[in-house]
Amino acid sequence: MQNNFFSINRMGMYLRKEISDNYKTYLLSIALMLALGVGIALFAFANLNQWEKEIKVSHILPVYIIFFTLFIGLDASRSFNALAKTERRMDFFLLPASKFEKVLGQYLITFIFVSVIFHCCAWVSFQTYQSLVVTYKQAVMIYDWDQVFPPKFTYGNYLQLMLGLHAAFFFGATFFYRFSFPKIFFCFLIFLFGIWFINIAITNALFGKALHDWYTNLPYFAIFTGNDRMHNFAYVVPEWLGRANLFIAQFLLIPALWVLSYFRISDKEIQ
Amino acid sequence: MINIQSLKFSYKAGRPLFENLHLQLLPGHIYGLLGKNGAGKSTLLKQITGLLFPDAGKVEVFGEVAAQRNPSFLQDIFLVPEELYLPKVKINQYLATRACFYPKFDHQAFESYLREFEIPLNQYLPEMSYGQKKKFVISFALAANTRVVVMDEPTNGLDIPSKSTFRKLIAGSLTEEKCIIISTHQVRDLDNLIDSIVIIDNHRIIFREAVETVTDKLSFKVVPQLNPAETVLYADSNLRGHAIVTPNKHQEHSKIDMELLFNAVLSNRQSIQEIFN
Repeated sequence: MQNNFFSINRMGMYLRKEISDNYKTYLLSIALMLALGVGIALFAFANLNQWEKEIKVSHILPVYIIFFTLFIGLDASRSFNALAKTERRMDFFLLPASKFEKVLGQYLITFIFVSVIFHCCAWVSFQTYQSLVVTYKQAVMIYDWDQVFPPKFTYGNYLQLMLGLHAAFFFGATFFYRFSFPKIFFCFLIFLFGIWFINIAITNALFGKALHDWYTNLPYFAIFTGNDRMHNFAYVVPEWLGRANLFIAQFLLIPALWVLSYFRISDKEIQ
Repeated sequence: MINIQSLKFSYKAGRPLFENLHLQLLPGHIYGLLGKNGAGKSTLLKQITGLLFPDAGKVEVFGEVAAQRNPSFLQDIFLVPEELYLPKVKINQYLATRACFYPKFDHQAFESYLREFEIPLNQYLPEMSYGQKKKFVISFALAANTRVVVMDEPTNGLDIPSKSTFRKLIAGSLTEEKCIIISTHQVRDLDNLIDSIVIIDNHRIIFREAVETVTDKLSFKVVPQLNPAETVLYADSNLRGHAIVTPNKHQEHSKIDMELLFNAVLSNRQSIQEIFN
């Protein structure tokens, strides 16, 4: 009896097919990532103050964070761009692999594959920069990671945030196939602002003029009241509720988006 | 093999395309699916291949629900669509990554089909013309050895020699357990190829007969002048005289003219139904 949900052999064949079909795009993306990384390293080296002899990693990390976030969002939003044209849609749906394998395949490519490649490129760029500053400017690198990733917000938490961002854009990619990145980004903003505005309506209904300002609330976390410095007050959710919210955000929201993405792809028809 | 029961489907609410449609297609046959533009041929093919889901009723292919699009179903059905998608790779690369999904794929047969169509094995797919792409996909579909092969306008874009090669290959690939469905407007391309005719009109199956039964019950001939005493179901005047369809009362043997039959069925449906019932 054939397993119609998942087969490791079929999964391998699907990934092989995807990589073979799109290898030129992938090579171009890798070249672009590498060129961008090395370009930034060279630019930073060229603009380095000659008196600066201590280069802090915490000054470089924001560039890494911005570009990693950008690439994750960009690639996740292109997860299902094969569905943009009817012919490609037919090819996608009629390929004898399960729906789960197809969705998982896109996930592996747009998150795992992109993350690995991005980190390789980032490592090459960093090594280039380090070699240049050490050799030509006689500077030393200070590895002060903890300035950017303190114990309360570790690198693991950052990766979890990227996983969430990827899940949101992956889910968005099941709605938009063309110019998906700006469309998903816009919808994501509307969604976040929507939550905030609903919260504003509720807090204004409950607290009225007691609020510090009509918009002073953090959805699911806090409400700020009091109009002067002496009477400012923050209603923060109790710790147990805060932890419950955090748990939902960390461990339930992301899988929920994956499951929704899977069912949205499963239910697609070709008109 | 293909079992469609009480199929109900509409693209827009309140405008049903199919309502209570029944159709059974058996293995060992080549079916010609004919119909006017917008009759629902492509929609029916999409229902069979699981690309569209029924609103009600069921579409089963070898016992599997088509809409579930399970790998066990997909590896035994192949659709040659009218508009094709081919990745930007060479034929051998395409073969290396796609043929493995079809357990009964016959590499030797594929190469021989390509030879018949005069397509070199190392060709780069995007550099092919539309007709060459079509021939390539037809070759792949036949070599995949799936139990069901569905073709939507397969002869569009094929040159004249390729059309006859196409007929030869299709006829040669039919086995007892295989069912081939060909939807086309170019009915003359299917001459001597199909053995059963299915005609869709107004979103219903209005005619479904074997070619043998059709030639038993109807007579197709060209006469210089119409005889008012003869029952003519449909007549089409041309330079050679009048091509006519008449009831085959004297068990004459004639070659089916599908264009005439199609027009006869559409214009004189009731009389045709009476003859076949």
